[in-house]
Amino acid sequence: MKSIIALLVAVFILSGCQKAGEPAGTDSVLVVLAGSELKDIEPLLPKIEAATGIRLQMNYAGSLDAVEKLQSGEAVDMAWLASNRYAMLVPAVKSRIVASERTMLTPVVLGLKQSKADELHWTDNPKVSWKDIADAANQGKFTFAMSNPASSNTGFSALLGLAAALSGKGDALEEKDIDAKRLASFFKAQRLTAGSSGWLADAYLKEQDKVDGLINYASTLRLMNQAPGLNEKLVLIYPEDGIVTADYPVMLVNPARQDAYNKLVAYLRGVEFQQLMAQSTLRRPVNPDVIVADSSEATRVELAFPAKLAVVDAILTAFDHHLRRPTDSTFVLDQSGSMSGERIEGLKAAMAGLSGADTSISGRFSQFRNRERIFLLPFSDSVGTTERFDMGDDAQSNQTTLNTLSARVNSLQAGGGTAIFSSAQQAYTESAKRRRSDPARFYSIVLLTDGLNNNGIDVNEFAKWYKLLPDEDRGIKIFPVIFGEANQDELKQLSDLTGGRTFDSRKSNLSAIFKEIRGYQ
Amino acid sequence: MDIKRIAGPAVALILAVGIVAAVIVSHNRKSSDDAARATAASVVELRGMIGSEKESFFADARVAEILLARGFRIKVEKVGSREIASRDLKGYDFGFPAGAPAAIALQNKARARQVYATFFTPMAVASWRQLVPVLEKEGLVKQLEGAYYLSDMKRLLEMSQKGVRWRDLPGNTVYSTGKSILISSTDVRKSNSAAMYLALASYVANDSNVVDNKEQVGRLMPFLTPLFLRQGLQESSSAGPFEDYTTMGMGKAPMVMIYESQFLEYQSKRAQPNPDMVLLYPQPTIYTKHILVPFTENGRRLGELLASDPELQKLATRYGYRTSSPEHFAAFLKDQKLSAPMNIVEVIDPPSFEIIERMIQSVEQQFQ
Repeated sequence: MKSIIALLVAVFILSGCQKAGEPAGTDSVLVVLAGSELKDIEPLLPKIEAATGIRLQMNYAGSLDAVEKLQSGEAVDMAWLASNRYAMLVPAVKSRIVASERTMLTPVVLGLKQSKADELHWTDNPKVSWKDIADAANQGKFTFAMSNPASSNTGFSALLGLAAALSGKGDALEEKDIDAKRLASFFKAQRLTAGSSGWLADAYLKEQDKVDGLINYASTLRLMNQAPGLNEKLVLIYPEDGIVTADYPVMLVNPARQDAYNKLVAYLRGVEFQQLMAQSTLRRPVNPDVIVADSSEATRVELAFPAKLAVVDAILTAFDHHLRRPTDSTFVLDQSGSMSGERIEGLKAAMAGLSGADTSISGRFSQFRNRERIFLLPFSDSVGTTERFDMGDDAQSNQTTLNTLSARVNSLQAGGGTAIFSSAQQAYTESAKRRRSDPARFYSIVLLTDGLNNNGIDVNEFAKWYKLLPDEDRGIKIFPVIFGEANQDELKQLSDLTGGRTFDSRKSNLSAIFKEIRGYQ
Repeated sequence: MDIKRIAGPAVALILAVGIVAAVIVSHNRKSSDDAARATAASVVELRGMIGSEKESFFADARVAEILLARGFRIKVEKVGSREIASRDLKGYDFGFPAGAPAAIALQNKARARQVYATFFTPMAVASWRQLVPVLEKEGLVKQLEGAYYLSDMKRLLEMSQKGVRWRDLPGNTVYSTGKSILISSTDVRKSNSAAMYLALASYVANDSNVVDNKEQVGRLMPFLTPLFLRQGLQESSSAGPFEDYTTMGMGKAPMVMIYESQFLEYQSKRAQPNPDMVLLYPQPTIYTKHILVPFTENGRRLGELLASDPELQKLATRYGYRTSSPEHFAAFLKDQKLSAPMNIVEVIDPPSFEIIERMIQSVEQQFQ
């Protein structure tokens, strides 16, 4: 997430305060499981260290991923997430949280281009409801980008808030209240998805001519409005029936670090940090003694969050299988000689995880979805033949499909050379063709390779070819996975060209990466 | 304390002045004492689990100083009051929950022979000035001698039960939302303030009688459970919903069941009390007693000190608590330009420990 936004934050912080001196003797390090949203606090870490003597070692994770890490007993001292609502519903996680304190606030809202907001009469209109928004989406009056609810807190908050608002109930949602029809009509207007809200904001800046707005934190949207690359100002829409606010709780997990935690919390909630944070991130302070220019957000109605895990899981599952636009995903898989042994076994395990073998929280929400079309394109010296696996709406026939898919993946044999870019080209051509006849899907290509291209076209030829494609055929995202000795720069060119993202499996295991990619599909 | 009531305000004032003087004198003397004591290594460190509402009291330098002078350094951890009894007590010297039911449960677990009642505070509903006229019009709130009372709790709870929404109230233009009219509270399974709300609601629903048998519980639960269930996810300590109220405002928290002390402490710490924040006193209400349960001899000595030391008792009123000396509480209100009714007339007793646990378990089952 190199991003304009991160840069903006950095500029703010550098101009906002003096450079912190070298902190004296830091012997206290807290290992923090941190939500990826907290990356914008990074420039303030030296300040925190100087004031408290505590160095925070931030290990970033997506929102459900973090819950799962806590559940599996990962050894951390603290967790600092955008929200702990899901965590608090999982008994094994809740019991690990010794203490929890909010640190800052910002709601999840819809940011819409000024011209669109004017056209819909939503600018400065306090009466817009989620129902109005869903109706307009259903009628194709606007399009939006939103992150994946299972991997990112903004998507999660928006989905839960929307489900609560559209149910028409005035209090906490029960399973029977979910209005699937209206929810599905809202998601018809979604054009862009992502595994994290930060990446989504960057993707929006790159594709702002193709989509009318995005769901994100109000603070992020305000930062985007200051970004030089933004063509048209975003109007923040706060639906009158309610919003969901992220409150960034910092949670103590390791009781032995209670003293350091207390010290840290006192500083984070104190005036100095609250002021610096509010200036640089544009989130609202939790400390009432810090004055903010605009406090109108505090009078916005907040939607109730379900009290039962079963309700939340039902909504997330419904989203994946019924509510969202269906997925078209192609897996271009290297089976050249160098893949033999551990590597190809790792690949098989990762694919098996997506086919239902992984029953963890993140595994369940990364599985192949109802209505998904899955394509396999194994390659070595030459491009292979694409094989198609169709998921439907019926659990039993889906199981048969997944069994066939797994059998095929398990039969992959390593051998031969590596025709990376010719394979990518073929997968792309086929995806683009399918998109022309069925545009109402999310299309993406995962490309896994462990070596250097030694057959077929090279990356430059691919780029040249891609740039000559008609406009309507561009923008199918390629997600290259760097494995083994793959050429990082060449693969990155593919993701840069298509608006995708490169994942590095040398840093974490392949199964985790495949799950992360699902957030983008 | 009885003497003071008889002797009247003049003596009380003299007494108060006397205590202030004593505090100042002892204050000065103590500072030098402390250093000596600390180096003499006669200080013992006590660890305790406390309800979150008392955190700032223990963090107060004046409290720490008095305790240090008596040889105590206190380390506290915030735990939901009703959760303390379910924790491992090893390594702790005391538990200091809010509410008699939580203290009894803890006393049973710790097998403490004696417990110490220190200070108390009535339950109240934090709300917003803008909403008062709307609630008055509905006949739910009445003003009396400068304080607001929830004068028809039964009707309010019935409205919640029926799912009446804020926008259904006639003349409500300030908070015209589709949200149900619900008092928000903490998680009844974990925290005392929600248990007190349950106790109060059960009394109201039981035609103004304290619930005292299983049959009544069985009959009342279908009415009481939705008051909690429909709130959705709740926080396990009383600081959570009150923070919703103070930081997220009316949008999140139009009415929150809290301790009067939380409200008064919060307002007293602002440069100016926030005039939009108002406290509504349920009629009847219920007191939350803060009872220290010792696990060790040092814990016992601390309990004794907190319950009897006049300076500590007085400092407690600086955090909005009421003690057996009402003049301290009155002085605190006056100093801070705050108001609260000095005499709360209608106060009920909570049901027995067994009955309240039975009701809580019944709510808990519905959360699964």
